[in-house]
Amino acid sequence: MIPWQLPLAAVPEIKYYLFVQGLYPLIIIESIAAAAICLYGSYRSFSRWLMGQPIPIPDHLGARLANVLRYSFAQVKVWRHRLPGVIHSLIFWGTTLLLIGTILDAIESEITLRLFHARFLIGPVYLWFKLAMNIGGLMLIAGILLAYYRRARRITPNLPMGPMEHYMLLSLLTIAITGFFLDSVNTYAYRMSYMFPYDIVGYSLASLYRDLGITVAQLVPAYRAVWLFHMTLAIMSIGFIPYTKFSHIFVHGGLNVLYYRLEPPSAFRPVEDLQGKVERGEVVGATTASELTWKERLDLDACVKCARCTNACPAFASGKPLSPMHLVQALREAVHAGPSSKLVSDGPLAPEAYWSCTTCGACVRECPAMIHHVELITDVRRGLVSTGGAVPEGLSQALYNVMRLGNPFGFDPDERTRWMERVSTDLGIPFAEPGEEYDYIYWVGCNTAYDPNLRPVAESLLRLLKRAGVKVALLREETCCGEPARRIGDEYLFSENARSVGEALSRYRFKSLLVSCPHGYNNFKHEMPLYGVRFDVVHHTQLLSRLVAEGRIEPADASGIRVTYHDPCYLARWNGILEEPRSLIRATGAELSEMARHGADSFCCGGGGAQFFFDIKIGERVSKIRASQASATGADTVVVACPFCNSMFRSEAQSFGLRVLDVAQLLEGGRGALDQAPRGT
Amino acid sequence: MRIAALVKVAMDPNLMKVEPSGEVSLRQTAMAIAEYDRNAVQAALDLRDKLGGQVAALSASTWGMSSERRKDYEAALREALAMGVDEAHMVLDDSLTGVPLDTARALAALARSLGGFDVYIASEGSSDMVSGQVAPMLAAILGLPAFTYVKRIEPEGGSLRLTRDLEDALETLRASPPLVMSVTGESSKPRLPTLMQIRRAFSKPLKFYSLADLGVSPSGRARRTALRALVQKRKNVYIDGSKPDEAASKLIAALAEEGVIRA
Amino acid sequence: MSRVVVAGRNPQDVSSAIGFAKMIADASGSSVVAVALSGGDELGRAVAGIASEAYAISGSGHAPELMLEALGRVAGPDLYAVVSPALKDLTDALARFSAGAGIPMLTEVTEFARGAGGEVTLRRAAMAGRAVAEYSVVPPFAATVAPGRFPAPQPSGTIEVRRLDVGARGPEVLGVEPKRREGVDISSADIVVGVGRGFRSKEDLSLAFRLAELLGAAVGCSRPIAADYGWLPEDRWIGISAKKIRPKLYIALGISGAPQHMAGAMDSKLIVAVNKDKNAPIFQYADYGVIGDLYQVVPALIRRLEELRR
Repeated sequence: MIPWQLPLAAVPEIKYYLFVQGLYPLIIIESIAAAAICLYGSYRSFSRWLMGQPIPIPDHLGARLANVLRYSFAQVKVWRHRLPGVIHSLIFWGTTLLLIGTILDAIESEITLRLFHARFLIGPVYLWFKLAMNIGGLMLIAGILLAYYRRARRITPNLPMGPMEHYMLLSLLTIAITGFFLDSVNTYAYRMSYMFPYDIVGYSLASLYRDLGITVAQLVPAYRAVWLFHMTLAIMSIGFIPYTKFSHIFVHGGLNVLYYRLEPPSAFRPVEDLQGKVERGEVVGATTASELTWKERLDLDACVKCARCTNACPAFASGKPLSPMHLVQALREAVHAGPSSKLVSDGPLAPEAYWSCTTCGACVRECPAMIHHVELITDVRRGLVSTGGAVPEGLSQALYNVMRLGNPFGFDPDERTRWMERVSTDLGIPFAEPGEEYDYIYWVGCNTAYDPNLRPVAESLLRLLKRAGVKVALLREETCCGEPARRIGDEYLFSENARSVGEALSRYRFKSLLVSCPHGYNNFKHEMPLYGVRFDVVHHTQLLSRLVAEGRIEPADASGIRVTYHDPCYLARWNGILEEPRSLIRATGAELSEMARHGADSFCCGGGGAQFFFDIKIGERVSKIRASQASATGADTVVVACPFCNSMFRSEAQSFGLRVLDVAQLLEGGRGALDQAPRGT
Repeated sequence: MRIAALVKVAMDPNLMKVEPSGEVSLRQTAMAIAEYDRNAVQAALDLRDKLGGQVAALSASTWGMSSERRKDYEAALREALAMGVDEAHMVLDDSLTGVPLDTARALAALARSLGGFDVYIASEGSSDMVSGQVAPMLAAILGLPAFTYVKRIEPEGGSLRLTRDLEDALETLRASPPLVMSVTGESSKPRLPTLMQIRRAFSKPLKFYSLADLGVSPSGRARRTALRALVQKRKNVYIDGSKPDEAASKLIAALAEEGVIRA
Repeated sequence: MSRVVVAGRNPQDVSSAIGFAKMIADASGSSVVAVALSGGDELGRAVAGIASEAYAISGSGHAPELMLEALGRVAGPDLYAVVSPALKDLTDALARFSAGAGIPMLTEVTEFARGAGGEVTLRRAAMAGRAVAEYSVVPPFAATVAPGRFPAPQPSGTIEVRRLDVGARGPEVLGVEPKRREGVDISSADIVVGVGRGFRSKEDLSLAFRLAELLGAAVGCSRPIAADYGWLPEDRWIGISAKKIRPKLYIALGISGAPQHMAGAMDSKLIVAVNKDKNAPIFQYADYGVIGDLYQVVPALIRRLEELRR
């Protein structure tokens, strides 16, 4: 029967509290108790997040609500993985449908009916409503069964399955199943005539009772018990949301997305009132729970232990003592333990865990709860640096070198100058002079400027630019751009360094800075502006691809050669530059074989996050894992676009028989460049 | 306990600059706290942490340039302050030219003018000159016992249990302050100061003195007359290894010639 | 007649510096006086024909204080110089003696020359071996020299050794623990053989150990050997984040010369590299670079050294 065929005599409507009138006061009491428990839990959560700070008022509401639509409702990050995306959507939308239905139920029974003797869930609306509720319930059950299947089969590695996870799945499953039972008894009692097929589950069960010869009266005692159980479970589940992982619906879905950064995540949040903190002798960064920002504390509560971060983490994959998920969970426990609890201790919070991070950002990209693990780690690193805590010796040395010599390695700054002077003479590239205007000032970067293996990259690039007629200059005052200092956690050194870099550059006129190091790129683009140093910056792959497109550079021929391209984290993942380097490789005619993890999902070379300057002597080398991935493509040449990646691959090249070339070298030399780069050097 | 850490502001051999004349450029070569003197500072701080009291850094210039490079001397001492030293005092005088006897006398006068200390800690030698004699000289001038090449310092009641690291043995001694000791690079794990620690240490006292202020003068018995750079840092002599036995003979002959191996 | 005192803990010490003492004595018309903490007749044989007096110290207590006291007694008013090999206890004693007597001292002197007007010129290495410092000194003075740096004349005959009783001196010695020879600390070794990724297996490192044995060297390594392969313990790891070495000679075998490694080896006075890749950065840091396969070059070195040692 379809709605418009309904006989007027049988206008469908809901009989509220059928068989359970006497239990009504109990439900009211439970609801009040649940509301109190929920309010208290929420209050506790808020005070934990704020720790005395005022509630921040969000700005740019439009953009923030757009984020809510994107991340909380469309759940685009959850959907990055298909099966969990399906499961989560089934459960989320199933529950949402049921919740909306239950709310409509409640409005009619408790408000419109009591106050105005009016109903709106009647007739065809009621039938469609019933259908929607059935679909919701079935989605929920299907989602939960799939979730159990996924977890039982361990389809996602490292996924925890504890009492909390069982509670969440089982409570929802129980509510859904008992709901269907209650529904079936109602249908059996008074609406068999019109509930097919809208109440498909209830109607089918009711038919079963009829066929088995069970009477409504026989069902009533069971009905009353199940009704009370169902209502209590549902009401109390809601009441206990702030204490369970269900809280992510509001903590993540609501708050942490609403307050999610509007600036790029690779800007990495600066330290507020840095100068003041330095002057007053306060901790810069975080050593205790109260020294985290309120948003960081909020984020920790948004974690749902989905293990995506850990499964994407190169440090974890290589057996380092860092698992982003366990780190976040342990930090969360620390915050729950009170404002003065220490963020560095043992286990997941061991200093080595923090120092294992390559800041590759794979965790941040994966996290559906919008947690910024790298910032948390950086903040604790800052705390360790500013309080003289457990900072690895190599990193203290790197900081000292940056401060004293303007490079993290401890090389004599004159070595950079001498090389630049030679390049300037040999290639006819001028040093920048005030008053002269340049298209680009090439900020070479410490790695390239000091490493004899990498200097040829800069030289290739400069020859290409000269051929293309680009007016490019070198900078006599070039020094460390400060990126290592910021990754290690010396924000003060970084800010002072940024200021002097800004002063040096502001003496010259140029359209844009040119860098060949993605770390420098990110720094100039997103990080230095935090301290008021703003220059337009391009990465050499961007500039070269433009020049090739404009026909100003004739790419050398590398046809017949199979290469793989390693996406640098700071170019691809953090800055979305994926196409330009690939277009350059294609332009040479080389055949590109992609690694399984490429593009924005690239796997770190192991050199980022200041890992270059020291070694956590635990586990496998990240670089070795990546080199084996490169080798698995069958290509014997790895094309890189970052001096850090370049060095890391070189250090592994010999064992894998790989050649390592920068994009610029391939573009300039083609097949010839490969001959000059013997395997394993 | 009043502890003095003896700190030399040394020329950094890794950043050595050379004048056209072939002399090491005292004007341009970067200066820093001598590497092992950081150990002396750290050992003093560690001792202070265990026994309480104050640490003063005492220094005397050995490279002249008292006005041209005053900032560099100051910066190096600020590093000691940033490491945790409570105050710093330096004899800065152009007539001090790195003759260890004069350096020790200047330091002794400085220490006396500050009322003396219970424990003086120097390093076994400075990174630029490695003379290795200022600590025992200071002890002799001040009439204190000296404990050189100390690798381990363990407070024990009112005295110290010190382990000296000698060529062929470790020697453990009981020592009672006041005393002078020199420590080895293994004696402590010095922490390099950060820019923020340096900035925060700006309020700590840092004073300069001339020899006249302290009423002493150089012995006049010795002076440094030259500091000539050895022309080539690395020789870059290539030996073809495709004929291994020939290459081996060549290399061994060259190394024997250099005086680094017996052949 | 003025006196040049040569001091040692034992006759061997005295022999290792007596060449220097003799040179100064000859240049200044002085006699040589030998003093040692132990030795007796052996001391007499070691210095006969070179020294005119020899003293064996008797007393109890701590070496530097005993020597300090003895120096005070034998120096006399016409002292021209006190010299000793550059060993720790002796440097200590000489420095205290010099400061007490108000005479200048220089350690690890490499050259001596008489200057005008009674002054002498002394030279020594500075700036981690990258420079030479020259001093003009009015005698008397004290100096140490690297043991055996100045060849000693052959002793001949014998000389009476006088006992010099200095009583009990110095602080309470709680214990002396001789060092185990194999536990060489690479950061204080004079010669270091470094092994790198050029080695194909842990067993092959025996090549490096054999070479080190012949040279009296300690074996160090680059990052992969210690940190990644675990072929050697970490206290042998040379690098910016590990041990820094400053030997007289560093022989890098199969090490490419990454900056992180070189930062730990930069202070080596002389660097030898053996590597088959001629583009390896290590060659830029090397004084002597052997371009060749370490599996051929190192055995050849071992053979040659074994020949020479026989």
